[in-house]
Amino acid sequence: MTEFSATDLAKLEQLLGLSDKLLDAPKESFLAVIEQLGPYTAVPQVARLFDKLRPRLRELRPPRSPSLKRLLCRPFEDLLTSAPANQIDLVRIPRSAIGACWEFLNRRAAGEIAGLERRLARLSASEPERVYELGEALWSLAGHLLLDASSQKPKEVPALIGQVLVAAGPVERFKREVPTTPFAILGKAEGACLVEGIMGLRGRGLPIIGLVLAVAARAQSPAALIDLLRHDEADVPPELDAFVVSELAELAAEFEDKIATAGPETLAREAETMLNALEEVRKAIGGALPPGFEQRSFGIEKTVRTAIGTRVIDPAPEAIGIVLEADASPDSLRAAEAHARALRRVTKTAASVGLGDRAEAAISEIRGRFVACIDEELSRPRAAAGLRGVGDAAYRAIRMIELLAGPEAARPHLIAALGKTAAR
Amino acid sequence: MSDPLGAANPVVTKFNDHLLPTTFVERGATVPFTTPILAHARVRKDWRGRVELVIAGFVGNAAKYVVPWPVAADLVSMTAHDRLLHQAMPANEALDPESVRLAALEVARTGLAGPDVAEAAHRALAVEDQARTLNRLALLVRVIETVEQELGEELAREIGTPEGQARIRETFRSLGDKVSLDPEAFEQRLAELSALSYSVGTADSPSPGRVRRLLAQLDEFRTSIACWGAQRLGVTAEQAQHCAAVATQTLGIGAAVLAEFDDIMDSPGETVADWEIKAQAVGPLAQRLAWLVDGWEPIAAVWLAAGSDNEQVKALGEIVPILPFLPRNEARLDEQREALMALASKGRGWVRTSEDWRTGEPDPELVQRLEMIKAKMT
Repeated sequence: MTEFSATDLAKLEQLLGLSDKLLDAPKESFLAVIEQLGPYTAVPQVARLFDKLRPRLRELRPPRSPSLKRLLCRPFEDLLTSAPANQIDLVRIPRSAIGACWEFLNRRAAGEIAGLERRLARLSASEPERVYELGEALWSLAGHLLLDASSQKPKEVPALIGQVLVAAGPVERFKREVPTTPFAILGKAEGACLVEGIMGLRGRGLPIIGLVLAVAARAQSPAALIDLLRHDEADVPPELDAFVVSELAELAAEFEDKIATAGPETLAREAETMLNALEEVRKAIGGALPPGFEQRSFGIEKTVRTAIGTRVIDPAPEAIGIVLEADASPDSLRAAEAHARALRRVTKTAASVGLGDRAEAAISEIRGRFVACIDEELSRPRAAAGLRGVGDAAYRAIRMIELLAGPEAARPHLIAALGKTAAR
Repeated sequence: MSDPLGAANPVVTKFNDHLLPTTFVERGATVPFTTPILAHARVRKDWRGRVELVIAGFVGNAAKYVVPWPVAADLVSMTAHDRLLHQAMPANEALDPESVRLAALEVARTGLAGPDVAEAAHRALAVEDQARTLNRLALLVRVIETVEQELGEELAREIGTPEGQARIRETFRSLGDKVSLDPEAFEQRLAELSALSYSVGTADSPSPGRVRRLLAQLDEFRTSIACWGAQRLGVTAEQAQHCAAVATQTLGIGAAVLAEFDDIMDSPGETVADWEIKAQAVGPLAQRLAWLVDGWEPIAAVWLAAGSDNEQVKALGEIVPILPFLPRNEARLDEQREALMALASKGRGWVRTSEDWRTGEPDPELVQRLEMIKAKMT
């Protein structure tokens, strides 16, 4: 890779004038220039040039040059939270702690860090294997230093950073094996990868909690991990129970925040997630639930009940009925569809919080109006041949019945309509 | 840097090449169904001319499941949109990508896949009409250019305006005996040539034909996924490079066919003069290009719409099982064929976790996602 001297970089001001040409350059040339300049985005002129090139960067997505600080965070990035430090328990890492840790490392291991910085500057993002090797050296160095420091100054250096960094190898291996987040279920091979990582850390006398929490943070249902670990006869660290409960509390807080502003589909989906998570936590932790948990879970159920009752079920007939108006705009059609999807989705959740009958009654009432509309449309003489022989209103009503009650409910109406398109 | 675009031959492994279709027709044309299990199914005719549906991943593995077309509607619980499409399709005798697409657009216009898909279908059909007109005018301009270059170039700049279009027609008719046929007969031939070629369009058209646009989109997809894969490790890196390699192979053949097509379309006057030979080649070339890009549009749409790294990982998982491998006989050279077999063999190594398709109705969330992709298609 060609390197630029400081004098060259000072001349980069002139490059700003080339941004238009670069935007139109063939993509190979564009990517080659970006790869050359990538390591220098901290230089203001280069940063400004990149801002101008942003539209094409978004389109072509060239590899991003890694920085050592970003590389340090890679193993624990899923555990980061922006919540204020005083509200954070021991199972999350505040973003604000990164700066302090980075400064600490630069003080305690200035030479090693500078050496790693130099090595990294010679690498591009398209050399992931070599970047990873360098990362391993960094994580091992930083992990042990931060673990020591956290035992002395726990308020300044969160222990969890060091705990994850010393387990960075198994964490990164797991992420390669299961790249999707959140992952829904772990198959045999993926579960074995986690258990193997735990055993390896134990064998080396290192804490396993960093690995377990880093994996839990990528799970759709962290509570399911408890089952998996129990099944594989690996001990379940108490921090995992705490993490699961803390996740649930965070989920509940996010749900409450969304009630006033989120659309019906989001509310229906999240209400379902909320109640599923609650059930999974109850099952996974069982007798070891923290004091006051049952009272809090009752509160969560009550919140869900109010949200889906007032925001999804009650407004549905009016919001969906708009489809029956001949001059309904595309936006109102989209809104009606979103409401119909939400209403269908919420039926199961509604039943579990005592609103099942209300949801069923709403669906039945709206469906009846659409069936009447279809009957009326199909009783009219054909306006045109083929698919156009059935009016838009009938197709819309069939669509809405499908969204409210599923394809099998819409099927007889469509068959009736198809019979009409075929009739001569 | 390694070979990010996957141009080099991958490792050749043993593979039963008879498992790959030999021709595009045998591979079948993709049908844009919205029922998840049928989302990337292809329709084709069997050796007795009966229509059948080839469903990928039907039982959660890499195998293809072939069912007679009429049975498909009873085999799975289809969305209302798909049921109508299923009914509308057999009436359409030709089973090439273009006719399947037109039938699908007609069905989409009903609104059974939602207002966004209906709007997109109306838009696509309008663009289709416009492309037909512009391509015909572009051919007229090309002929004018051969007689009066400067005037032709001036008219080319005005091709997008109604006044310019009227001037082009007028100028062409005034060419008189400067062209080999009388202008009326000439224009008639050009109209026929345009009907065969508008889906690809001319190379310098201000509004490129749909197939040409899709080739450019495929190239963008290839670059994007290759760059992304080059900075990752593990299975996602392998899969991204695999996608880029399959795209590279398709684009390689596409470039050769497009060059042949452009060569003929570059001088429409000569093509009309040598009608029996040159004009007869245009239709098959355009159709071959349409077959080449068939199935790639939703793949590129899914990939290019993925905004974050995590969405890209998920998109990759969706893309890999549905990559449209070239049929055996479409790889012209032996080394291309060898690379093709190796790619197809590799693709079979990554099998999706089985989806519980037996539980009945399609997942509404997946259907909605497919409708969103469909609304982005042209």
